[in-house]
Formats: sequence, structure tokens, C-alpha cells
Amino acid sequence: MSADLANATTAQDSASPPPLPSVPRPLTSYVSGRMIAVIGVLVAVLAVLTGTSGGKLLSATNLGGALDASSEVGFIAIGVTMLMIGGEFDLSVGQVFVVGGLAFAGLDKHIGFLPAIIVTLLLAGAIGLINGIITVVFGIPSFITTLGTYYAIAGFILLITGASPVSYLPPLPHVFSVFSAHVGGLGFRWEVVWWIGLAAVAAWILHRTSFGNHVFAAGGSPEAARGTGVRVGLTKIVLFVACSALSAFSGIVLFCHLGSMEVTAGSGLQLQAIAAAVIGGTALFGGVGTIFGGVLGSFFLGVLTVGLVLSGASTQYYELFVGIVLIGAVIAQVKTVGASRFVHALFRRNSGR
Amino acid sequence: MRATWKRKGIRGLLMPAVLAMTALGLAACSSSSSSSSKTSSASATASAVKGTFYELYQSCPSNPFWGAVNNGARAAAAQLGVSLKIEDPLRCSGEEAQENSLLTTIINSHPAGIAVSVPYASALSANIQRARSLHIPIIAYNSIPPNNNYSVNPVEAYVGQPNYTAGVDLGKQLVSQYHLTSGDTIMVADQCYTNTTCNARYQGVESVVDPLGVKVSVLNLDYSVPTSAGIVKSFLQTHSRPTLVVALGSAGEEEVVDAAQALGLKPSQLPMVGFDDDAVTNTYMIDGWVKLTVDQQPFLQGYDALVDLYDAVRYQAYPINMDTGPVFVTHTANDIAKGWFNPSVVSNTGI
Repeated sequence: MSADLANATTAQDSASPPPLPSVPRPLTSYVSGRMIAVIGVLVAVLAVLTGTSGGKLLSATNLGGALDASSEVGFIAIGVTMLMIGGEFDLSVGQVFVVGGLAFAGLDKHIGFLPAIIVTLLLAGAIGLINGIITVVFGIPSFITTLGTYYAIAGFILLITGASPVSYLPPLPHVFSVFSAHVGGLGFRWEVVWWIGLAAVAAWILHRTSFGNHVFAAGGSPEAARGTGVRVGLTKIVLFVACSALSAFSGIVLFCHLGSMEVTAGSGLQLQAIAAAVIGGTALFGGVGTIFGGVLGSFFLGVLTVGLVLSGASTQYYELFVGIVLIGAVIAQVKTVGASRFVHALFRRNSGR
Repeated sequence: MRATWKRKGIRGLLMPAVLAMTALGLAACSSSSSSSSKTSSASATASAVKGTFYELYQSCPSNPFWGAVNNGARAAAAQLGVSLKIEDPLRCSGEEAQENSLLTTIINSHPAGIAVSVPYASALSANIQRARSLHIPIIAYNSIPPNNNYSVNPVEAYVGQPNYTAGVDLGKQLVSQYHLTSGDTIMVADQCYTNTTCNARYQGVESVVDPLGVKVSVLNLDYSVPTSAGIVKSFLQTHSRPTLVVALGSAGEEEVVDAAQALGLKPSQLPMVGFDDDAVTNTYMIDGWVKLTVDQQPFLQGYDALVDLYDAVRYQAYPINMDTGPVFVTHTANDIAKGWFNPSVVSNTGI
């Protein structure tokens, strides 16, 4: 799965095959069979939860609450989705999330809001760079690399903080409201707008640029990608950096929202982000997936929490249903790939291609 | 042809089957949840109080302490004839975002009243203020920040005993009972190193013994029992034997006893005190390992919290603070208790 950095920077740089052309992916690529299945499952769950909650789930306040609840995992799922499409995993995202919140909290009072964000993202990017280099240069499976960094970072955090949470007492600085303020009467916070905005940027990069093509190629068939001049190793390193930066950004956003960060706040987040990506149609072994799917998967996790409470059910059912839907969504995706062929054929016929 | 049709039929049925399973499951969970509070809901129709009360706590359901708290809440709901929902975050650690998110949804459902554990300085602050502005009675139970600033967390009352205070009280008890002075040592078995509850308990004990010059060594035992027991064993082999062991919960006691037995120590050679009065602690107390444990009355915390809220709604009585501890349970008290102790109740309630 991993390539050698030397391949990425030397041998492949001088390789003779021409680079992949920057061809925008056709719109029909978004309407894949997987996506039909993802939307179908989400609509079904939404319909059931709406019914069991007596329609309360569909109020602006509660849908907004579900979006708020989704965004924490949602930011991370953007990076995890891209990385999984590129054929790699990152299990350290939960700890990088905590690093993001803690580093921002420590820096904000000394260097100001924006510089603190920038330095924090650079720090997180450095962690991603380490993950990427270890994976690519040493050929270690990213599952192992990032499991190692997960534990190393967790230990480092405990040493630095003594396991105590970091908190600001209210009133929180006004500038935090760029993430934490409510958007009009829509029931959700600005963090959701940031999440959707970043997802849109990531989707554009993934589906409309040559780098996006390289990501799909690196994850789908690394050998073939190298043959066509894709710098597979470099592509993966960039994805690791982006994934870590997005995780830290999520930690910053959470800190601005709550004014505190617990040292164990990242526990389990990595698995939730992977679950969101897979529910959203991302293949486990690379080459297939969409950011839109990752966003939908994250929203599913949020809507399930809120919907269960509004339905009068205990949140103890949450993990049970995540498990059922995770497996169900993947079965549904596998069984509906035929639909994508039909849609593609229909579009080709209509466009005369 | 028939065989082909059959195969396609099975495939075609798969996805609807999965969706149906999910739908049925969700519907079932909703109805089962309703039935779980059937007794209270049924009588709620006759109750003078409409709407649902919520108790929202910060830990996870596998914690026996919270099992006892929740049983107390359910008992109160049954007696008062009100509808009660108990919610907890989806993770057992790092739960502030989840608890805050749940609190948002609960407030959005306009409940009759909310009891919420508040172990964080400020994470739930905005939602507590929002509940107050919507005139939803809201009190804190079990946890509240030390020296809570009521402009930050403006709950109407507090039911329980703060873990920090419990730690302070235990520290004072130890100083008086064991005559701790400079030169004595305490080994703290901390099986929940990253947990705000354990941190608060430890800090409370330390605040009393540290000024006396008592040396405190904290062992982080947040691992599997064999690993943690190995850590304790190594510590005991390489350090002079501590005057006392303080276990911050029953899991820590298990690991200390395991290590002590491996080293051939007797209970009298390694006196231990702990927190919580659950089945594990009781067993060690009967065996002589645990000399004293702090009982913060978890059953009463859940019970009294709901009664406090009920009184506020039913009689417009302003919620009042209720202190539930600590009660020090000793070997003697346990000897008396075990005469009527029912093991099946122990495993269910954790008390």
C-alpha cells in the first residue's frame, strides 16, 4: 500500500511517462451506485427516527442540533475520507484532535487567535508529516504507524498536562464566536458552516483537480499510478498532513465552542471518523469514495444521537445502530453498484457520448 | 431458470431486509425505552406533573457507581409516578462534547426538569444558562466543579457530594485515624488517571496530607489488571512499604491486592482505604484488605435529584442543595451489613 519516498521524489520525478491530465471528473461520477445506497440508507434512518420522534427531529432546532453534533467528527472525516481514498488509514486523528485543542488553548492567550490557529495547524501538519514519512519511507502499514503515533501522542499529552483538562472560564473571547455563534435562527453554529465549506473545498480538490486524480489513482492501483507518473508517496504524505491538520482544526473548533478540552476527548474519534467515511461509501482499501459521502456519514452519526434522544430511547442504543447501519450500508453499496452503471449509461446516451 | 430467479430474489431482498431490520430496531428501541419506564409512564398519566424528567450523567453505563445512581433515580420515578429518561454520553472518557450535545437535545425537547452531572469548569455553561432562560428546572447532581461559580454554571441546586470534598474528608479521616505525619508515605492506586472524578478525589486527599509533609506516590494503573498489578508489584519491591494505600476506586483495589498477594503480604502489612462501596470493595473489606471506604451514597444521589426536581415542578419549591456524603464504611459496619446483604442485589446495583 505504501510507496517509497525515493520513488516519490526522485525516480518518479524523472520517470518518462507523462503526468495524468487534469481532467475534471464527469458529474455522473457523483451519482454512483454507492451514493444511491448511502442516500437510501440515510433517508430510511431519518424517516424512521422522524416517525419515532413524532416529527420533532425535522424541526430546524433539532436538525441544527444534529448538524452541530456531526461537525466534530465531520471535520476529521473529511481528512480520513481523503486518506482512505488514497489507500491509507490514520488512527492518530483522535489524539491530534486533542493536541489541536490543547495547543490552541495554550497559544491563544500569548500570541493571539489567528497566529495560534496557524501554529497549531503547523504543529498538527508536522505530526501528519511524520506519519506520512514513516509510512512511505519505511514501508510500514499506516495502520501500524498511526497506532504507534496514537499511543505516543496520548502519552505525551498526559505528561504535559498531568491529565488535567484545560479550560477557559466564561465569558469566552468574542473572537471564538466565528465558530461557536449560532447562525441566525437556523439552530446550528458557525462551525457547521466551516465544516461544509471545508468539505466543499476538499471535494473540489478531490474531484476537480489533477491532485484529486492522483489520490484516486494512488489508492486504487498504486503500481498503475506510478506507471503513469503519479508521485504516489508524495501524494500520500500530503494526505497525511491534510488529515492531521483537519483533525487539529476540529479540536480548535471544539475548544472555541466549549471553552475546554479534556485530555481524553479524542478517544474513539478515529473509529467514528472511519465509520462515517465507510457509511458514506468510501472503500476500505482505497480508490473509491466521495467527500459528500463522508459528510453524509458524519451527519448520520449526529442525527442518530439526536434522533434517539428525541424518540425517548437511551443513547445506549447508539452504538448498536451504528454497527447495524455500518454493515447494512456496505451491503447496500455492494448490492447497488449495478444502479451506477444504469445511471452512467443513461447520461452517456442523453449527452450523445 | 428457477434457480436463477431464486438467487436474484435473495439478492434483491438483502437491502430491503437490512433497511427493515434497522427500521424495526429503531422502532423497537423507541418502544422498549418506553416500556422500560412503563411503570412510571403509566402512573404519569395520573400524576400531577406532566412531561419527562431527565438525568444526564458524564460517565458510561458500565460503571457500577452509576448503576446505583440510576437505580435510585428509577426508584424515585416509580414512587412519584413520573416519566424519567436517563442519558449518558456515548464514550466513557473525554465525554464533555457528547454530554453537551445531549444536553442541547434534551433542552430542545422541553423536558419537565433536568439533573445533570457537571464535572467540567465551563463546558456545559451555555446550555445550563439556556435551560434557565427557558424556565426549565435544572440542577446538578453527583459532580460540580470545586468552588462552583454560579454565574458560570447557574444550576438551581446541587445534590450529591463533590469528589474533591470527598477526598478532603477522607484525607482528614486518615490523618486522624492513622496519625499521619512527616515521613509517612501514601501510595495512591489511580486506575482512572485521565478521569475528572479520580483526579478530584486525589487532589482532595493531597490537599490535606501534603502540608503535613506526607509523601504521596501516584501509580497510574489505567491498564489491564495483570499489567497494573505488575506495576504495583514493582513499586512495592523497589520502595519502602507505604504507610497506607489509597485506591481511588475498586478497580485499583483489585490490582493492589493482586500484587500484594503475589509478594506474600498480609492485609495487616498493607492497609488500604478506598472510594465507593461496591461488591468488589465489600469483598476486600470482608477479607481484611480494605479498612475503610468512602461511600458517597450513589443511590441517594439519583433518588434525591429527581425528588428535588419533582418538588420544584409540583409545588413550585425552589430546589435545595442535598449533601449525600461522605459516609465512611468500615469493616465493622460491613460485618453488620452482610447479615442482610443480598449478593444478587449487589451485582445489579453496585452498592
